Amino acid sequence: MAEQDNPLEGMEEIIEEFLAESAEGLDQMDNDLVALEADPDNRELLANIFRTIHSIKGTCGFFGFSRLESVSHAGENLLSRLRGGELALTQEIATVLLNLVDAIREMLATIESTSTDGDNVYADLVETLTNLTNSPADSADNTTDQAESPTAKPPVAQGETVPQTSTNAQQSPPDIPEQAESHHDPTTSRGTLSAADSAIRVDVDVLDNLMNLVGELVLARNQILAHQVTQQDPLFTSACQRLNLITGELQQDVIKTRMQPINTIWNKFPRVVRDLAKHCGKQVRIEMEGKETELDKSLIEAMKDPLTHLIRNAVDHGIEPPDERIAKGKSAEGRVSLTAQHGGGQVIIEIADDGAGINVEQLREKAIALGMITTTQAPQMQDRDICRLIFAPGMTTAKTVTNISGRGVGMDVVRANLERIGGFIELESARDRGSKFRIQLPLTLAIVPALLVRSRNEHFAIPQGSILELIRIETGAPGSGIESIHEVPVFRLRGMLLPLIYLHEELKLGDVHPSDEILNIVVLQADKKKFGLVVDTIEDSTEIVVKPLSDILKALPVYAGATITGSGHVALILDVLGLAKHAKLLSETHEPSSDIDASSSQQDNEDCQPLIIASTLDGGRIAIPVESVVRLEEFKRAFLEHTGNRTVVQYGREILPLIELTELLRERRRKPRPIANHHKSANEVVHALIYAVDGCSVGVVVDRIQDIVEHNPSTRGPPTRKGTLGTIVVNGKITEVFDVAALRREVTALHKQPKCAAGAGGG
Amino acid sequence: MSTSRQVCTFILDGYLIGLNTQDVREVLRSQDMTRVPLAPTAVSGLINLRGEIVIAIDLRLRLELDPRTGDHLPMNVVVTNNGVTVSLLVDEIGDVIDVSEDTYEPAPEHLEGVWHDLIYGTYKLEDRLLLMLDLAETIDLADTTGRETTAVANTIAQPHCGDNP
Repeated sequence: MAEQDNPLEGMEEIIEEFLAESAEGLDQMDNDLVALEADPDNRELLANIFRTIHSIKGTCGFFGFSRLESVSHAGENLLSRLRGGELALTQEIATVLLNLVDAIREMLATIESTSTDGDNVYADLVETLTNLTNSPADSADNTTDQAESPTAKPPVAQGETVPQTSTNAQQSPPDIPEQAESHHDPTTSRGTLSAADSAIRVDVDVLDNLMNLVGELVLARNQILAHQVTQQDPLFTSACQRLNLITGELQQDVIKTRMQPINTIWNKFPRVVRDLAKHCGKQVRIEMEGKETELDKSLIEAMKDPLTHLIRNAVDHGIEPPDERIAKGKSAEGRVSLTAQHGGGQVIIEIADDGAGINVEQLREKAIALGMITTTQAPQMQDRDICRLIFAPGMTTAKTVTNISGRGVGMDVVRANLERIGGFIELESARDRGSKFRIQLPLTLAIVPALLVRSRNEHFAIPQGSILELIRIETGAPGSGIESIHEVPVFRLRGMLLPLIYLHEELKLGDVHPSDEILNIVVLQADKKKFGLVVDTIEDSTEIVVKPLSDILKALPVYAGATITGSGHVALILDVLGLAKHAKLLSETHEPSSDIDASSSQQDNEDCQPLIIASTLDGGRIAIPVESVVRLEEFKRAFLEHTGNRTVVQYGREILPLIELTELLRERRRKPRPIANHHKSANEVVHALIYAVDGCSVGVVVDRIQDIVEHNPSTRGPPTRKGTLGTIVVNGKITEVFDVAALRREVTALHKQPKCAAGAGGG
Repeated sequence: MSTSRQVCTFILDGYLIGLNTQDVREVLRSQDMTRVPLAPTAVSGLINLRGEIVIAIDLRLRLELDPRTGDHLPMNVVVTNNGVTVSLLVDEIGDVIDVSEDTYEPAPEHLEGVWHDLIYGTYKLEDRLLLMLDLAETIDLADTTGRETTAVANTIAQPHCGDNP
C-alpha cells in the first residue's frame, strides 16, 4: 500500500472526484440497464452506459488502477458489440452487466479505503464478459424469446431517458437531481457534466454547521426583537426589521440547501425491484411519481432502510407469481408504485402494490398463535385493526422465511424507525387488490414549532405536533373540575375521561404552589393515547431550534432535547411519548391492546363508550359505564357511619348510603353487610361511584378502580351472576358488565323498606 | 533534569485541584442555569455557552462534599473531554501553574469511594498538595466505580505528563 501511495500523492482530490463521479455514473447505469432490458433497442441508453464504463476505464488507467481497468475493459468490449448492433441485449447479458456495476462499485470502495484497487481480479466476471462478447452475433434473435424482459420494464424509469434526443442524457434539467449522490459517498452531490457549471459539491458537515449557525442567528434575532420593543430609536427599529426579514430568508434558504429530492433514495429501487423479481420468478414493474419531492437530508437518510424494506416486502410478499396473477384475472406483470408529495407541511409517501393484499384471516390466526390477541378478542376485531398488527414485533405474514424477508423482524422496525424521525405509517389492504402503505413525515427536524410552558418557574417546550388542544379551567367551582380515581386525577373532556398528569409532580419540581384557581391543561397525544398535562402557565408559541442533549442526560426519556429561548435561557424540550411512559400512561405490554381498543372506538363510535374497569373485593373485574355515574368520590374509612344495618357517610348536606358492589352482585340479600366490617384500617379510603336513583344519591363501593377504557359494552358472554349483564373482553381479560338497571331496582327496593335514607336523615 | 507541566488549578472546599491546561476550554463567572429535573444529583443544570448547550456538573456534589452555602456563586470551568463539553462548578479559580514531574505521586491507595475514582495523583507543592482530577471519570455520571478504571487512568496519565515540556 505504501508503495502505491507515492505515485498518487497529491492526487487525493482528483481521486475523490473520480470516485464521486463514478459512483453517480454507476447509479445511473443501474437504472439505465434496467430500462434497457425493457427496451433493448434504445440506442440512447446504451450510449450512456457505454460512456460511463468508458470514462471509468480511461480514468483508472490514468491512476494506474490496473485491475479495475481490466474489468471495465472487458465490460466495454461487450458494450461495444452491443452498441454496434452485433449483439442484442438479453436478460443474461443485462445480469452480467449489472454484476459488472457491482464489481466496479466494490473496487471503488476499496480504492476509497485503501487507495488501491485491491487484489480481486474478478476472473469469473471477466471470463463471462469475454465469452458473451465472443458469442455468435445471431443471439440477437433471443430478444423476443425473453419472456420476462420486455414486460419487466419500469416505464417511468424508461420515460426519464427516452424522450431525450441529445446524446447527453444528463443535460435535461429535470434529470439533474437524479444524478444526486449515492448514499455511500457523502462527498458527492448533484450534477456531473453539464451541471458542473451551475452546481458545486459541498461537504455535508459544512451545511450542518451552517444550519447550526443560522439557528443561533435566529435566536439572536429573537433576543434583539424582544429588546427592540423597549427602544424608541426609529433607526434601530428599522434595522431590526431588516435583520428580521433577512434572517428569516436566510433560514429558509439554508434549510433549502439541506433539502434533497427523494429520488436520491428512490433511484436505487428499479434495480432492487428487478433483481428481487427475478430472484422470486415474478414480473414486477416499478412506477414512481413525485420523485422531485424534497426532504431534509437527515430524513432522507433515515427513510432509506424503511422504504427499501417496504419495497422488498411488496415484491416478495405482495406481488403474486405470474401464473397465480393470471388465474386471478390480473395481468402477469405486477406493479409497485411509489408516490411522494408535499401536503400540510408534511411529506406524504405512499408505497402501493397490486398484489395479493393482506390475508386477514391468516394474520388473525397468526396473531392468536403468537399470543398477541386472544381467541375471544379476535372475532371482534375489525380487519383494519388486524392489519395494523403487522406492525407489532414478531409478526410476519410470509408462510416461509426467505432470505429476502419474512423473518418477523421488519415492520415493527420500520414503524419504530419512522416514529423516531417524527413519522407515522398506516396500511390499507384489500384482498387480491393489493396493499398501500402511507407514510407521513415532517419536512425537517432541526426547527420545529413548539409551545413554551412553565411549571414551578421552569420553562419547557412541547413540540406542537403532539398537542391536540389547550384547556383552561377554574378549579374553584366544584363539579366542574378535576376528579380523582384512586389518587389518579382525571378530567371530563366532552364526556371522555382524560387522564391527567401534573408536570411538576412528574419532574419532581417541588411544591411551591402559587395556589391558583386556574388550571392549564395541555392535551397531548402519545401513540394513540390522549392525556392532559397540567402546567402552571402557557406562555408562547414559537419556532425552536432543537439541540440534542449531552450523552450524560440521554438516560432521561422525558426530554427530547433542549433549546435556547428568545431570552437566551435554556429550555428543555419534553418528549411526549417518554413523558407518557414515565407517568405509566403507556406501558410496553399494555400498548397493543389499548391501541386496538382506541382504534376500534374511532370506527364504531356509537357502539363504544367509556367504561370504568373496577375490581371488586372478591377479585372480579367489572365494567361500569362512565355515563351512568354522577361522580366519583373517595371517603376515609373513618368517616363511614352505620345506621341500622346500613353504611352511610355524610356527603355535603346529604347522607349518602353506601352499598358494596359485591352485595349487588350476589344473591339479593335483605340485610347487606356493613362495609366497615372489612379488614381495612380507618385511614384508608373507600372508592365510591355516586349514582342518582329516584332523586337520592347512592354510593356504590368498589375495591379499586383499575382503568378507564373505550369499549363496546355489548356483551359477548352470558351473565355469570346476578347484577351483571354478561361478560366482555377488555385488554385481554374477561370482565363483567355491571347492570345499572338492576342497581336502580335494588336501591328503589331498599328505599321502600324504611324510607329514603337521605330524606329521613339516617332512618 | 526534571520535566514540568502546566496545570490549571481551582479551589473546592479548601482543596487545591488541578486539570491539564489543554482540557480546559475557558473559565466563566456564574451563569444562568436551567435545572434538569430527574437528572443525577451532581448535574446542576444547563447553561447557554454562546449557543451551545452545556451541562454543568457541581464538583462539590460530584466529590460528595458539602453543598455550597451562602451567597457565594460558583465559577464555571468549561472542559472538553472526548468531544463532550461540560462545565464544572468550583468555588474559586486558582492560577495556572507549572509543576515539576519530580513532585508527582499517584494518589494514596486508601482514598475512599468517589475520591479514589476521581483523584488519580498529587503534586507536592511547597505549601500544599495539588490533587489531579480524572476528567473522564468525573463527567461519567453512570458511576462505574472500580479499581481498574483508576489504574488505567494512572497509566495513561503518567507518560502523558512526561510529554509536556
